[in-house]
Amino acid sequence: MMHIDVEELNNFCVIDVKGGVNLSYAAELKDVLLDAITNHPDVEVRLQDINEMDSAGVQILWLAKREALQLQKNLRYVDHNPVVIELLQIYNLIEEFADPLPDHSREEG
Amino acid sequence: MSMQQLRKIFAMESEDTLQQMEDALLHLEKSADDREAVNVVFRVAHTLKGSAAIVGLDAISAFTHLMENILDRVRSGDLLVNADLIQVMLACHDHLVMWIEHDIEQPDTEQTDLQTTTQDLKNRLQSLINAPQPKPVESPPAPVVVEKAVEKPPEPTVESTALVTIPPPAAPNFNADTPVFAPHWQVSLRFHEDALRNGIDPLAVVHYLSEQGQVLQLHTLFDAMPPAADMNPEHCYIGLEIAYQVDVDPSVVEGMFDLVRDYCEVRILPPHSPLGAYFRVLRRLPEGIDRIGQIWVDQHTLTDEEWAAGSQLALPDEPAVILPQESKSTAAPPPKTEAPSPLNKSTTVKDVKARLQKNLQVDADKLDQLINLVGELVIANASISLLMQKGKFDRLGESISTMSRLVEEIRNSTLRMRMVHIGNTFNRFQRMVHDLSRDLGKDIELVISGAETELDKSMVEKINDPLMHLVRNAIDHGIETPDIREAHGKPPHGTLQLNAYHDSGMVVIEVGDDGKGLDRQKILRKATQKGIIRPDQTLTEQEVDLLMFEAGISTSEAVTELSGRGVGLDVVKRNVNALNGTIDVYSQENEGTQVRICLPLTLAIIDGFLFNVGKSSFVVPLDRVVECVEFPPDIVQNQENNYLNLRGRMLPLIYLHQLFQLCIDDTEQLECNNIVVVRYGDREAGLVVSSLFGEFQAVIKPLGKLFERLHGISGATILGSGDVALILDVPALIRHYASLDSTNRSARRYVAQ
Repeated sequence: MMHIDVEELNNFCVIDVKGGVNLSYAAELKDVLLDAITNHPDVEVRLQDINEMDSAGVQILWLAKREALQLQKNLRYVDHNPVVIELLQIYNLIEEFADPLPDHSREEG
Repeated sequence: MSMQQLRKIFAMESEDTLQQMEDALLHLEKSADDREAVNVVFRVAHTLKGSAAIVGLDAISAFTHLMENILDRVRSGDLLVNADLIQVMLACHDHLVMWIEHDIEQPDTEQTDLQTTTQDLKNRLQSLINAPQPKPVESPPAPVVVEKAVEKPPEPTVESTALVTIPPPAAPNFNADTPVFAPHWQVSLRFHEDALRNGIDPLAVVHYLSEQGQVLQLHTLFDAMPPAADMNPEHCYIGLEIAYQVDVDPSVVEGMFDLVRDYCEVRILPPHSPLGAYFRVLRRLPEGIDRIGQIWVDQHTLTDEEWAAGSQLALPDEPAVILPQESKSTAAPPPKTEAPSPLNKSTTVKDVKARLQKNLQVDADKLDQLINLVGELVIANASISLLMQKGKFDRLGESISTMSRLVEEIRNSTLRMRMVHIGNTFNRFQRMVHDLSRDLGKDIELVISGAETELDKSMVEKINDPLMHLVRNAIDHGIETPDIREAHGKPPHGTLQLNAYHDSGMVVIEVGDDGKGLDRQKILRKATQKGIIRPDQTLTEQEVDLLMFEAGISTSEAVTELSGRGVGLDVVKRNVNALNGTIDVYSQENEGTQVRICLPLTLAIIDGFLFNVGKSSFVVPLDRVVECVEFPPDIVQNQENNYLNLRGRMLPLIYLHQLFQLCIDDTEQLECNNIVVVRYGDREAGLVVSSLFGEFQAVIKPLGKLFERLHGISGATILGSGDVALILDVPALIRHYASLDSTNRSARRYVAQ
């Protein structure tokens, strides 16, 4: 079960993704992320409470990143959960997705 | 599970696969060089052979084995696809359909007919094998490229000699045969869009590879990802380039991908493959040579020198590795050629296959039961909302509205479960058109569009017969023979179109031909003879055309085996009406006839609009409602004021209380302050009503037998309060109004006819 908290501040949006990010929730995640980067210049996505993620989830993160780049918006993925890090390592996408990759999650991973 | 149950499953599955075989055979008739279609036929025969043997139907298995042998020779080019072959295969197909049905229904009875046919067909198949056939010459169709996943190290094959003869204008020490330095495998995976939905996660594949060997380098590609708007979150857009270290036989590595091949394009290059092989793979990868080439350099699969030299290699065009046949012809997917399939038909065949694999078979009764329960839930929910409105529970309101939303979603997805593509129904007509047009000496092409349009399953079953009558009618009476067509300046081959699409909550199915059109004079004459219309009656062209759906009217002088007896088309009308649908006909002399059937999406639950007249409640389907306006207070409400000037338009008014003769207490004045504007086609009308209650999910309950012939009302529903509301049949009301108009608005009782 995925759950997303969105906190909208002035020109700034914090999105907290929790739970399992998989095929069933990919559509929801896509909508939330794309909405956020459309409406805010600065978006931070927290990944620390994700306990499961599959390729469908990775695709959405990648898509949002590409869209943000095209729209010249600032989208940051932060506080990666070890689950996410492991996944990104397998896909060799760490460099593209870690903005900044906090040290503590590395230790946990 | 007993053998009998197994056989039932076998019969069910074979029905689908045989349908694929028929589609593919009919397609082959048009384009004999479509290898994909041959593959489909081969696969079906092969699958049947295997599964028939599993369920102990050995005779069927032996028979399909013979078919498979022949098809195998077609695939390898020993036999040519020609009309004879297709006819025999179609006959085999028909025979199998009957045979399987017989074996499942009456397994214990012997049927000599079947046995003779079997023997007869076996002989015909055998004679195909024995008949001397010219080997296909090199030229037609384009050289058949069977792309093998593993590029074999150079062998003295046609290919390598061909390569050697090409003078390599490359750097001095490199040519296409030079083995590359890299000691590892290069695996290129491009996942299909439906991979994730079928439970194939690229991650799992990588995981598996790391268990078997060592993933040295991995590069993830999202090049296939479309723009955000088109990106389907459930589709897979992932490609992987993997430098892989494993110490096993090439065939073992190839086998490692057997499980995912249906959902992924796999290309494997063994260590030290010739440079030319790498570049041939590069050419076929969708991302372009430079993009992947650079990744390979980064992954140390190619050295800088090899990359530079290879880029300049002139490789012979396409013919990659021509291997006589796939080693595992069964499980392996059809060989992918880079050139798009000549016709998109073969892709639909594949689509069907993909869809079959995703399907889960559920008992229709269980689904109906679920839909019934959801219907009850909708009613219960309405009743709770009603209670809430009466009391004052603000907090409760929130949770009730959440629940209403959920109920609505459950309703929608439950109903969607019953939705099936109409394409399967359409495709069945391929064969019919093929057979009938040949019998009648006509040249008719069936063009299908909108095959993916979804329709309630129960509806699909009931629409099949009407469609069949319409298609027959079009072939028999609509489309002329080639010589007559040419005399009229039309192309000799006629076109029959089956089309379906969604239009504002309705499904529209069109059957159109480019034949001679309807002979209105003849229809009028017949209708007058049969007493359906009076001789002095004047009718619009539309009305005349619709007469063709009356019993006893035939537009053909000659009664043929197919149609013309005047029965059939009235069945169409009856069936469509029974489904709450409508029929329209558009005919143009010498240009053709188009029949358009509009059907409601579903029979079970609709979004309605609730209002009342006096004490009676009514519902109209929400998509029929255009707007609601207040009745102007200065206009007297009576039968004389039949029109309202609505923003410059004349809006005809329908006084429901008068129309339905609602009992109104004389002492109290019925207040009708509102008008609900409804639309049917391009006509609008205003229903004069008392008060509006807004949107309402109506669970349609059929009216009893007693009310079967009631016009203007299509069903009933139960309100939250437990009261019954009638569902208005807007098309009937508007048509009724129009007929009133034409008969000088003479008041006529409408409801009880």
